Amino acid sequence: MASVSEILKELEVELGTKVLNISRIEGGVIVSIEPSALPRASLILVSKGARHRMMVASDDREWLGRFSLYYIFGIDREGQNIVIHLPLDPDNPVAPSVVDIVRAVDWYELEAKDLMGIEFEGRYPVPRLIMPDTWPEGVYPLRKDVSVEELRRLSEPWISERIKLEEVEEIVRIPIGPYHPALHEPEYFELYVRGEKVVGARYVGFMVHRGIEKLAERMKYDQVPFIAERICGICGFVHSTSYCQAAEAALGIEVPERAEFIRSIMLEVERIHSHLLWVGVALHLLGYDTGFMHVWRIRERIMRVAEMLSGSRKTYGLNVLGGVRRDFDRDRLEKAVREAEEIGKEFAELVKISIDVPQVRARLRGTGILSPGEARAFAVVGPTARGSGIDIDVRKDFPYAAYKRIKPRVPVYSEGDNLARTLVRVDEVFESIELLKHLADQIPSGSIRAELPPSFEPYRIGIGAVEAPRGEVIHMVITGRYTPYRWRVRAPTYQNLIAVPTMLRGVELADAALTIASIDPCFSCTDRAIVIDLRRGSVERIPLRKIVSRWRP
Amino acid sequence: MDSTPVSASLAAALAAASFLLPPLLDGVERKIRAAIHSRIGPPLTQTWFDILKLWSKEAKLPRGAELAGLTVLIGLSIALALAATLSTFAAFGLVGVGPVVAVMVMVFALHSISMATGCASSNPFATIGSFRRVFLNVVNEVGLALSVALALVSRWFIPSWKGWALLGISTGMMLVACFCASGRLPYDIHEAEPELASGTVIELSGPLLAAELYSHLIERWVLAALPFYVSLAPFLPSAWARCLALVLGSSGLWTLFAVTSATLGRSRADLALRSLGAIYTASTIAWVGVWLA
Amino acid sequence: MSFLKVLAVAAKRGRATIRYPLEPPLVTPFFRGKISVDPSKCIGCGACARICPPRAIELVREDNRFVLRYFIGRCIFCGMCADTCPQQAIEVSHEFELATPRLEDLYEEVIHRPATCSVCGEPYLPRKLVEKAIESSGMEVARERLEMCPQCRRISTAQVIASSRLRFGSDLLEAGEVEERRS
Repeated sequence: MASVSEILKELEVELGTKVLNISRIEGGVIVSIEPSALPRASLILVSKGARHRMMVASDDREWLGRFSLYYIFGIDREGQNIVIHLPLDPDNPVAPSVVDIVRAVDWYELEAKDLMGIEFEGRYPVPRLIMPDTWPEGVYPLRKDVSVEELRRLSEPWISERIKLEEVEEIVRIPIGPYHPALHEPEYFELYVRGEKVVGARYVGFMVHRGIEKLAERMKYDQVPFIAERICGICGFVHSTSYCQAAEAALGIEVPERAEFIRSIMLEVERIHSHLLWVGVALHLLGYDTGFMHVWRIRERIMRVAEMLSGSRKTYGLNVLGGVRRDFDRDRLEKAVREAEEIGKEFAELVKISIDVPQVRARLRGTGILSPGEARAFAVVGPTARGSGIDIDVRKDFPYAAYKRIKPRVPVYSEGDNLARTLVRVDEVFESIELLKHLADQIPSGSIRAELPPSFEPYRIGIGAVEAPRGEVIHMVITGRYTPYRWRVRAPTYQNLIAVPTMLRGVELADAALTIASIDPCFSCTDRAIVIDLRRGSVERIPLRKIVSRWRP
Repeated sequence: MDSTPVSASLAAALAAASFLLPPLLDGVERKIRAAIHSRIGPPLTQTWFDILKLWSKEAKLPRGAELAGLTVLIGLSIALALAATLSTFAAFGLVGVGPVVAVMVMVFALHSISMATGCASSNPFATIGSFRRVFLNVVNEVGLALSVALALVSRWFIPSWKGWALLGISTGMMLVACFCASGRLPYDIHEAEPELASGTVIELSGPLLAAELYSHLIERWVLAALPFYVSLAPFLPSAWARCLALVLGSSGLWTLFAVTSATLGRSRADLALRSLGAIYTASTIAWVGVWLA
Repeated sequence: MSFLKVLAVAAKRGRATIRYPLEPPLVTPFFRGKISVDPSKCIGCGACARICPPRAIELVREDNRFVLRYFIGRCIFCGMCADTCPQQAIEVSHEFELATPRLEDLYEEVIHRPATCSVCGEPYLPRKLVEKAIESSGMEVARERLEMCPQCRRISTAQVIASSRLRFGSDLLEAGEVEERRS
């Protein structure tokens, strides 16, 4: 892997005058280049071992007179980002597609098209990724000239139109569709099976696109952490931390060390709870409900710890711009550490028992394999990457919060199967408990919140990343005077999901649920798989699928 | 043979017990499972409540699977007849080859008809569930039939030590076969896998589901009583003893099955095939070995 | 066969579930539940309404009164309002059993008498807020100006400026226009 300066030099030499500007930001550099130079630039970056972390499309017409694309590449070894900034024509924003070069950019391009109306040249025509098929052409929700009210109006007649199409006599507004209770989770995988073997899979999702990025554009800086925390019901704190870090980096706010420790403590508590939850659900998917119940019984204890520390079992509500809201006293910290140690002991015993159950062992080992090469190509993150031998962890590569002072040990397994991903998480639970001890031990005294600047400087860019239980969460904030100008959220599942069809190829249908779950997405999607039997030569769909397809024109 | 009026009333009582007991035993099983899970669990009578509640609901025939309505009811009548027959045979001391074969024929009929229920549905989940059940039954029905046959043969050698040893081996094999046939974890792959969304019974609801559930529970009772009927009843002198053995034995075995299944995970069709095949082959070889010795 | 040890684990741990709602729920003393606003302390400044992330609290003028309305249905129980309240009028309780068949039960209101403008008679702010502002300004002279609605205050300021013969430009209000508005 080359260093940042080497890559920058090469970019300058290779692209010459096509490099428009280079500027530094907190934790990296922004390189503005001409759109036509993007393929060359991304080729250089990828060949030098840079990892594609996120791409953000932003409507910067207000201050740059252009649309912008920000491709964030991480140089993991140095903990630095190289952000390739592409200014695009304000009337006809077109960028070259680089999906052939950077496989992981696939969804980002589709999303930029759907939400920001940016065209990508050199891509085969693709269906919409995020907006529903019925969404009118030419309305791009994230553009600044589209108001939230307008978006609401646009989405409403849609429902009644559908009801008319269904020839329901009385028009009653019942939200049927992706948000139907029968569809546990509004996303699903179509599995193509031959006998019991899965030969292919397709993912359909984004039915719960909630538009929170747009909503946050009218929320105060201090209100956004609360909506950020609600992005996920399991790892919410990572999002509020990530947002705060991005905004703090952009605005140059120094967070007091004690606040950073408090953030890290909560992040580790959240990781323990999330991994215990996952292990429980994985055991449930393997039919070992006894293990599931016991793991969740243990998990209940960490939930109480979370409540004791933050006041809430989930959605801790601790983060605010510049620090945290609540301090932890010595007493509670010690109690939390004692609990965590107990949890570790109980969990260790239970893991030994569960792995010993013949069915659990047989169905974890060798199923759902993702090779290291594929894992790298898809730029997967978190335990999914670490289960395939890729040694990345934001806590180690881009140290933030208290991890600047206390380094975690990062477990890596190279088998790439469901067992490897499970063991990564199991090891991480123990490591988190260790970390918790060190954090509680070394927490410095002092204030828990920085003084905020009297006014916020607009149009500054900040990147914040956190190692969530599921992998790297990364947020980018472009500041505005009173509210964030643009806020982009990238959850780990976004990066990991595209690898799932590859993992599913060749597994037994019975193990498909576990394999999908092994990246730790939201689980309920797993029981809404569509089974298509290729043996009979016919494509069959379950009635649920019919419900969905009926709602399409 | 015992005097007829006593046997007749015992048969009636045992039959009644075999109709009423299974949902209660299921309640016990749920309590046991709950205890192993560190939960409180539902009350003992919960399964009976479930059945009655489902029974009181609107009857809906699944579209495209109307046949399932018929097969479920046939299944229920076979299950009731089977339990009654087993009770009568046990009470009257009909434990010879003929009655055992008759009982086994009814057991297999019940299995086939419940497989037909899954196959009747056009739902792909049901199709896959049925496919798995057929897959599993191919091995397990053979194992069950073989174990019963071996037990019948073993009886000829009794009272020599060889006879008891042979009977022991075949009964052990029968226990495994009965456990597997009862559709508990780890062998409930036809309906309980999460991706199957209740598999073979996905399209059943209301009274149909109640009937399916009830006949399945009776089937479980029969499978829990079968080893005692085949391997123990012939050596018990009185109708009282035989009936008691069936009731207590089936309850005990049910409990053992419950504990066993709660400590295991769910198997996969190919894994199940392999492990059951291995168990049956090994026990058959052991049986033949002892027989030749 | 060590997986059978799970039976020992179960025996050791006993039952983990409770017969809720027959037994008391397992909330700790640190739990954040619904908030309650103390009407005697609340001055109706609306700081809580401005910080509330989901906008569960709003301060609205209805007819001749100001209402601080808390809608539990939107509340995310973050307690930011309690942190922000300058009067410490908001307390976070442990209450979480909030389901109800009646929508009205989910609303809680603090009603404020309005301060009416000494000039035009329009209600413009909660009475207690104005009192508090006068009190904390520490100057009785401020009373006259604070008891006017923002519109009248602006006009009056303009008048003061006009009467003091300070001219900033041609767009200053004419005294006649002010008279017209008063009537």
